[in-house]
Amino acid sequence: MRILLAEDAALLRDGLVALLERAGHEVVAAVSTATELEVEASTLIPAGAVDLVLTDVRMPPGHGDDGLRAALQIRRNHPSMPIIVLSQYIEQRYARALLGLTDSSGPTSERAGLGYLLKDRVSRVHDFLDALEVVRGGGIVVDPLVVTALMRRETSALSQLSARELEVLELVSQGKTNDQISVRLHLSRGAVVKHVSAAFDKLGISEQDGNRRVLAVIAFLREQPSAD
Amino acid sequence: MPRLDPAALRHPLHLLRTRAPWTALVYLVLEALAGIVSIGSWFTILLIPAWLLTWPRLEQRLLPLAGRASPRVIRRRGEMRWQDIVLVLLTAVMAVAAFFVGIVVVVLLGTLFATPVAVLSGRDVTLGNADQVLPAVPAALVAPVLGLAVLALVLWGATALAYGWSGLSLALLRDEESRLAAQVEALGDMSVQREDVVALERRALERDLHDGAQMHLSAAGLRLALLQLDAEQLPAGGPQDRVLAGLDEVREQLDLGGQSVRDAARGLVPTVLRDGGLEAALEELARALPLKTELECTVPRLPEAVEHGVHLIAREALTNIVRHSGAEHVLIHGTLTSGSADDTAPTLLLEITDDGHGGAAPTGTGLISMRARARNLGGTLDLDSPDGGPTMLRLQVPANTGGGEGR
Repeated sequence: MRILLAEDAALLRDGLVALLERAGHEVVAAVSTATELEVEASTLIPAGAVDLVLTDVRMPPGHGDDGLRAALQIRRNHPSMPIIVLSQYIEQRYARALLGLTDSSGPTSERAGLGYLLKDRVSRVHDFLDALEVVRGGGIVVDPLVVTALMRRETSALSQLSARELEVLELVSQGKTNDQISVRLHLSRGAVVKHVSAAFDKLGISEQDGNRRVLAVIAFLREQPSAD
Repeated sequence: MPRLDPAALRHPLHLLRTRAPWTALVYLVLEALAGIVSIGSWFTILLIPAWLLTWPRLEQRLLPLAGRASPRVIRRRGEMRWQDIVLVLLTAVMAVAAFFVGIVVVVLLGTLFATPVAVLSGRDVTLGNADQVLPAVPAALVAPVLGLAVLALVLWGATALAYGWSGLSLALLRDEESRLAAQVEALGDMSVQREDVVALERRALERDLHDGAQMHLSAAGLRLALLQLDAEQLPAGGPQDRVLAGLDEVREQLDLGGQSVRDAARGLVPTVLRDGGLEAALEELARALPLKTELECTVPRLPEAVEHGVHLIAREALTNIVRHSGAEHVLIHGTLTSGSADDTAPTLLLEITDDGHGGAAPTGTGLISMRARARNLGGTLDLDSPDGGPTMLRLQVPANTGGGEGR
């Protein structure tokens, strides 16, 4: 997989490059600011040289959410480009913005893959590498800690879900397939399907809604006031 | 006790039909008595401090008799000011004057009203010490009429005198009020400055955590990931299992370390304000409210100090609404109005309106610090909260947008 990487700390940038190359991926460019990221993206992506963008949130020039904003801009310019954002914090606002849930950032396409991962997740190397594949394949990966933080709060729709349904939905929101979930939770495939559709029903997502899994994740995030 | 409108003094006939002259008379008599006590206290030196402490506090309560509002004065126990001494001295002087004027008035009125009685009992009516005897019958008729006229004049005079005197006394007492107001302002400023210093330190601490501890933990995690890939290449068996298990343990520790640092850094900085500016921060505040909220806000990025201050004011205002107003709806309206001329800075206008029961006291501690904040930003804060609502808070702050963008 050809990856465009943005990370401002040299130590982490070099480490990520080494890890990605070790896993057989190619880092087509590794930049250290959000500005450079947008510049590189504007030439490399139209040339078809990038399969996935992997970026840090907090970067120069603003040292705020510059990386996230660059990612959103790239997404607007190239709606089919898979993007993973790495963050130091569990910031539901970032996840919402990334998934196109706030008006200010504008809607993003639900076709291409998206990921919001905590930086710590990288040390679970296989989870991290899996996430790259899921997102490249059009899936959505939201860090388990973000989802857990969301689920700790009672909300109108989510509170109607049983513990098992929440558990299943948590895995759905990490981009897992029904088969993977059945292995993970030691359930039969039929039971997983039953839980998933029960959860969808309770969240008011019908079969005509297309990508139900994506909508379920969005339902999670939309309901939540962000935890600052 | 109704307040006296000084214009009423210009209509004596009307004034005399009210209670005002009589309460004014009572006031003057009490003042004169206080003056006598003042003089007396000088002779019993020990009583001077006690009287200096007592009289201003009593005087404050007597002011309504003269048609004045009682000033809101808060004193520390045993506090004495130079104004108190001036007040007591003036009261003493006034008592001496009042004593002589009072005697003249009483004798004059007594004589005039006693004339008919004197005539009836067959005595001669004389003018002063002169042996000039006045005709008895006309004198008996005229004197009481004259007495009534003098009494009216005295009552009017007493009202005017009491009003003037109480004004002087109020000025001496009220100084306290403005001094306290200044103190409250200064305290508000101090608490705002302290909060700002704390916020600055927290920002620095958060940056240190991010650039230091968190980065090294992440780097260690990356190195660990590489090590794991290496270890998986080792021949399967005991040594590989031990290495992989060891790596798992290290990862667990790293996770715990990362979690601790995240917990410590959480909430140190309102990231939404730093990243998204006021618009995003107000949206965030509105979203967290347990009320129906309408937000109309189009504000560009402003200097950090302005965004920080306005955000805190809005947060405090919304907290107050949730806690005290009983409101169901809140309307938050924020705009940037451009200055009328080219050289005037644009102004940020933030209005927060709720449909609660109103009657918000403009002196609460929350409002004091909000005002102090607005003042620090060179702006103003107005609160309109009639009983029964609605309550509207209006904040105007100069938004010197120099360098606002590109942070």
